[in-house]
Amino acid sequence: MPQSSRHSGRFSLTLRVAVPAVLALFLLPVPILAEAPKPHLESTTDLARAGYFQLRWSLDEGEVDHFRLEEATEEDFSDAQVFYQGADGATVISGRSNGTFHYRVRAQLDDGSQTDWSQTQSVEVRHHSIAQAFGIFTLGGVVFLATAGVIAFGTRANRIIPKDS
Amino acid sequence: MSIQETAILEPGVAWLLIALFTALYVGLGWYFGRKDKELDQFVLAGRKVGLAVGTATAMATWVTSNTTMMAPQLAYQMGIWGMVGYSLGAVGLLLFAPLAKRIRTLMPHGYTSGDFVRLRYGNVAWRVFLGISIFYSFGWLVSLGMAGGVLTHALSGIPYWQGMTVILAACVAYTLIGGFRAVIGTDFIQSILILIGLVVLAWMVIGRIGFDEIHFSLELERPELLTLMMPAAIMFLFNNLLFGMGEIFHSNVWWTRAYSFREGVGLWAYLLAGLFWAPIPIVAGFIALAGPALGTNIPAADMVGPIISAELLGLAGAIIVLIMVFAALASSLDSLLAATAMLVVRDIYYRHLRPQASADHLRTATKVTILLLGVVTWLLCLPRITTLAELLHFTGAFVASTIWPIAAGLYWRRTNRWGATLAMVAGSAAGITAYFQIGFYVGALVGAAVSMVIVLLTTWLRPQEFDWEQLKEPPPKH
Repeated sequence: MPQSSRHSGRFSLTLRVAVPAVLALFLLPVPILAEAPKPHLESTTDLARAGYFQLRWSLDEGEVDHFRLEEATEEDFSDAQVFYQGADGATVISGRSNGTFHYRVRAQLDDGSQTDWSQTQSVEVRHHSIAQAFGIFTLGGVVFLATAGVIAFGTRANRIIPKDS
Repeated sequence: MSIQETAILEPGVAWLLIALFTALYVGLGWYFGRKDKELDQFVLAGRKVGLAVGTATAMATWVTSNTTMMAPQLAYQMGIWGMVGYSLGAVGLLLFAPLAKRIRTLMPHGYTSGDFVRLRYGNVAWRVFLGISIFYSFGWLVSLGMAGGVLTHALSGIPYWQGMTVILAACVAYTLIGGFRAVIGTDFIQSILILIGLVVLAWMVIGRIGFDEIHFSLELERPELLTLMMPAAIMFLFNNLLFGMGEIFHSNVWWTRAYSFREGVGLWAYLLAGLFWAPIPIVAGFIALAGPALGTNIPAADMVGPIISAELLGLAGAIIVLIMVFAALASSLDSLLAATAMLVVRDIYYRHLRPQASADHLRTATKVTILLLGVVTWLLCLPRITTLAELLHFTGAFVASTIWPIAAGLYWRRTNRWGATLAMVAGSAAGITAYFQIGFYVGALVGAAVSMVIVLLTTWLRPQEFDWEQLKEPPPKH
């Protein structure tokens, strides 16, 4: 027992040293994985009132072979489609109807590995109301016609005035 | 990492083309301006510009890099109405035609647009106007400088700041060397290059893809670009028209041309320039709509024109676009440098600081100012803060507020000085509020509307009797 206990003491000492060391070996990679480089994705706006916006992305570390940008209308990306695949770091999306669109991007590195997905960037497209649009359109028409009228009548009035007056 | 990695032209080829055309424009600048020793010749080409050159300079100046790069951007962002709305910028030239004739008649010895506002409305309105006009000039100059960098980066991958620096320096150089005659002389050559380039590009785009495929892809991927009921695009239509009117009505670029044309030329030169200009944004914008059919990525909206052209037409397309947009850019940049330098020298330096300055001194001051404007523009272009369209339309709120003070001031005796001043200040404030509250596509429209209401009300409530003879200020005795 003593031996055993000695052994046991040594064993427990070994355990006390080894277990944390082994655990550390397993645990250490965890923070490394958690901090593994992934692209940063951002949009010029979260609310697009004219149906267009720009997405930009970048990866701070690693040599990128290409990026893969996915778009989905479902938040969990269950209906995701590849929107762009290539080396560019941005894209302009335009002509969208009302709705919310979700985006994420990942990078394929030169060594063949790929990064995690970036954080999700959501953009809501909500066009201005048609009533507001026609209100401003009408206002613009009135200003234009009035200005053209001032010039047309002014030119005509100056043409018919005799030079000596 | 750069946002765009795919470029068609080798940087060496792009540099070679830029060097060749820089040499051509500087050479032409020297040739056209070699005999202009007098101040009037240097800044107004002796007031003897004829119809052909007059039409070409008005058209080429209005075909800016903004036309060839922003019309595709707006088509890509706002669809059919985007490019139609941009082409309504021609209305500004058409309506300025009768104004040019009247300006030449009322002010035979005038130099700047500031001269008119000073004589018509007094010093307070004049200073407000100068603030607006110089602010706008910098907005336009910066958008042109940015366009140079964006263009070379999109086509060849040359870093933005390098392309911007070289193109800006080239335009400053030949404007400095040749003065106003160099500006309008190179405009003539550049307008021919632009027209040929655009026609070839449009013909090649339609031939390679065809309308059906373009329409099908747009309907599938970007349906709002085809609809005529897109709210932002509907608001943009009259906004762009009024922005164009504001730019032309107030800017010294167009007033110096009105002063420099031979008598009787201004009306026809501006009418013809407007008619020739109107289809250009449609052709340039149409190219952008081919983007979805090609599946090409567009990293930034203001790069769409060059990228689609180069993608679709390969090396030949990229070369045509580089030559054409460089010509469009140079034709506007030189005009703007010359006209803004003249406004700064005559309205600020001469009128405020050195009223006794000799003609030689003012000529030197004009050259120094051109150089300084180039340096300040370069500094403002370095941090590429926004897209071309948004930058330029920011100034729209300000310039549209000058439409009514200028138009009413040229035709109505009763419009008073305080009404004009208030119209410019309140119009600008309202326009800029709308720009931030609604979007860049309404700033000019709201600014023009508020300005109009104030001019109408103040003219009606507090009419003044203005004597047109006061505008016939004798030429300064330098």
